[in-house]
Amino acid sequence: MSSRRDFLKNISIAGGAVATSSVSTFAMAALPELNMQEGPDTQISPDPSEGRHYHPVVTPNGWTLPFRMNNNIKEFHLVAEPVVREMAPGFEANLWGYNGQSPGPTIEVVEGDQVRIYVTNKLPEHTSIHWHGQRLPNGMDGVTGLNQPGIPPGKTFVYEFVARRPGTFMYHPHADEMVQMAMGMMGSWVTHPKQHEHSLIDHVDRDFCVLLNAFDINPGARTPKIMTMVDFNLWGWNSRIFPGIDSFNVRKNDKVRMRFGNLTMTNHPIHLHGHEFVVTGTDGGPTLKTTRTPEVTVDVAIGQMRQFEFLADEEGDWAFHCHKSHHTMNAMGHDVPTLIGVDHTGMTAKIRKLLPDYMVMGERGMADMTEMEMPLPDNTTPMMTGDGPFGSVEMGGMFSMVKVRKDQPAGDYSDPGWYEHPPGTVAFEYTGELPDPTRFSAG
Amino acid sequence: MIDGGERQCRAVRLSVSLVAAFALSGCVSVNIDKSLASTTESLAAFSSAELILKRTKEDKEHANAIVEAALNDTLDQSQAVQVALANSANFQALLASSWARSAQAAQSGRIANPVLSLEDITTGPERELTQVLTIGLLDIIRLPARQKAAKSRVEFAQLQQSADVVQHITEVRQAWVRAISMQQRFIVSQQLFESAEASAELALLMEEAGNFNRLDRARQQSFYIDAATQLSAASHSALAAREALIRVLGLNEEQSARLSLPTELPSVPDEPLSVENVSLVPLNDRLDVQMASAALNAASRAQGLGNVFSFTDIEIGVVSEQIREDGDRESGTGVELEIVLPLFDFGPKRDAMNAITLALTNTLEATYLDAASTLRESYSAYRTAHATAVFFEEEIVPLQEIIVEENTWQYNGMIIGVFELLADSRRQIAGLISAVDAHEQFWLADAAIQASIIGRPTSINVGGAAAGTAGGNEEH
Repeated sequence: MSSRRDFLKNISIAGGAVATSSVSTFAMAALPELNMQEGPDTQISPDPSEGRHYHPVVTPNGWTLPFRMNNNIKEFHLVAEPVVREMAPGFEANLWGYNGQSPGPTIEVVEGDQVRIYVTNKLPEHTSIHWHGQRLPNGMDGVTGLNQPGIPPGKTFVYEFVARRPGTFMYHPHADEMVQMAMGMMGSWVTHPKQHEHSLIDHVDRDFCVLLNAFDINPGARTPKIMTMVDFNLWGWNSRIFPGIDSFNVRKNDKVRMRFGNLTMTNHPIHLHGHEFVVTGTDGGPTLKTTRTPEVTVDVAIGQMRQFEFLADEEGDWAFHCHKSHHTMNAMGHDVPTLIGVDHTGMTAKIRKLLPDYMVMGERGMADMTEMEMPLPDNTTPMMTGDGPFGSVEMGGMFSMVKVRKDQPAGDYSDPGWYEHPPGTVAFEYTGELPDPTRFSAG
Repeated sequence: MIDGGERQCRAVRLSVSLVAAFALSGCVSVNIDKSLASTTESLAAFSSAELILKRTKEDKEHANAIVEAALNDTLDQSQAVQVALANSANFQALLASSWARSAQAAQSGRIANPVLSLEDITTGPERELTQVLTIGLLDIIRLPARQKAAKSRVEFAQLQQSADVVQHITEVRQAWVRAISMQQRFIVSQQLFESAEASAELALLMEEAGNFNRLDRARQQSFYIDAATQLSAASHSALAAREALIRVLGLNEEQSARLSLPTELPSVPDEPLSVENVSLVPLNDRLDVQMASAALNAASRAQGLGNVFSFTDIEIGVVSEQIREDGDRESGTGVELEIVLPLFDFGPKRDAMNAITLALTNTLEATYLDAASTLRESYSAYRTAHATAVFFEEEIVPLQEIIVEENTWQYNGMIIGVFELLADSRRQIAGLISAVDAHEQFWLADAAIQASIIGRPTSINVGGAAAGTAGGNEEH
């Protein structure tokens, strides 16, 4: 237990972040209940029963952290700790995260809330949390060494500030930042507007919250390589990769909001099929309505958040993905030679003498890979995969779908299955005669 | 030296003592069959192979049957030894020479033949006829001692024969090991070559399709050229090692064609020879110690003779003389005694004898010391080779298998390309060569330690350290 003197000393060092006792059951008793999440399934939060009302967001493959009201202060408890994250079925990663998962739970508050967050460190090294994009006292900004001492292993610190402006924010460590972010420590933060009728913030039917993140895990291994600068091989949404990312299931004519924060080391042009959307907010706040022009792709740069909205008025299973095509792939070699057009079937026998399990691949392209059942390194999701109604989707990484159905019940986020296309609306093979076209003759 | 055969005697008439001496000198003789049986028996722990010196038609048929039976099957190491002993002309020459040496040694135990000299001198009217039969008196006096010395020499020759056999068997064993390991290296080099060839062919196709530039293609082809050079060197080495084995086995062309060897060396035994196994042969029973000891024995017996011999040399002759002059005839008989006065060479001769004995005494002591030391060294070489080979068998080869398997999976997952896959397969294959090296070293060390245990250390290098060379080539 820290004495009052230590308490004051820590205040003077940390400015605002307040040190409390170490993690013992006794000490923890005073803290808000610890909420943990075991799996990667999307958890739908009910509307809040305490505090100011808001419509909760949905964090695909994630969850919203419950809070308690303590003398009108909204209290949360985050635990920074090693976690095992299932990034896709059959592929688990040893990450660092918060409250049992990476990314950490989404924190939802309302503009003007007094927020107190207890942060317990169960990592082997010190940590801190930076509340990315927020207006707050300098001593609450979370930069170790600059604004506060690091939270030592086993200790709990308190951050406290008023959520001053509505918008979408992120949180992540600012202590050994490169390593801790490479290990998956990050989460989303949504501050809902105080007024129900906000001139720039519309009411929406469905509100999704996604963190873009990148990892470098050697196929067959489980732990990210923390020193990777640019050559990441796993591109995730909420620490999931296709086919592990839940689809965004909406009812036809729902107004849908997407909030995409980018904590990777590169930009991601997020592209939605079949609809146009407008960017309604950035990290800085809501955009002016006069600036909102229809788009089908929005580039979310490094450290940025983009919030965009659309009317889901076209039924179907619409692809929704980062438009960097190598970001819709899972782990792959970056130096695999192109074999297209190189007929080397004749050499198979020779190579098989040395490597009995060798199979010719790539002489027509890479789609072969999805057609062959071949053993891969353990704990590895194939580079291109995903079963669709017409075969392999041949995707990975930052790929998912917006599924628009006219009969999707309000408030129901469950997967409606594959879209049943009206007759005559699916591309088909032409099997008729090919008449000679009439060509313009110059002579 | 002490060889009685060099001296000249003049004498007439055989005497009773001559007959007696002749009878006595028959005691030391050599029976080659007994000698071979004795060698076989003394080497039983070292090799169970049968020693055959082919002299009769039956011997040859017996030897041929052994060779034929062995060549009908894959030749294991003990069969290789048996074939070499039964078939190798070199080995037959070695046994025959050994026989000759023994016989010569036995011969030294016999006295010199008597000398009969006849004189016919005419001086004017006088004609003098003299007949002298001479025999070395000392020869007869010294006969028992000479026979003892000869016996030592025969013993020495017998030991020399055993040592030669051990040496030869060890050479056969090692040649057998090398012939197999070189063939294994050749096979591995062939795999290396095929992998490089596949890369090179594929690189050409890649260039034709426009997927590779000339540099990429040339790089892949350079591996291929390296591998091709290695392959031809390995091919020659395999042939050379096989021919070396063919030579120690003494096979003719038809037999060589039928020679079939195991495709790989046997696994190393789980339990290597223990210190107790290695120390089974008492120091005094070791061949090198026995040889040094026998040499010293022979020398000291010879020295005993030599002392007397150096003091003086006495020859006795029986003289019969007739003088004829103008029809008259005078005859007389007598005894002639000839004494060499050791005025000039007494000192140096005795010194030489003493020096030889002194040298051999020290050689014996050195042999004792070296025997223990070289045994320790060859045992260390043996254990090191064993540990290394086991390490390869149990750790490194399985690791390489994992790498090959995982790499194939990485290739399947498009994480590595086919060139990387092939390049890595070459690295793993090259690792197999080290595994072959480790096995070869073990079996060479195994042959060396067997020879070392019985007292005929041979040289073998393990991990670059020379072992067991010190006592290797004593010739006494």
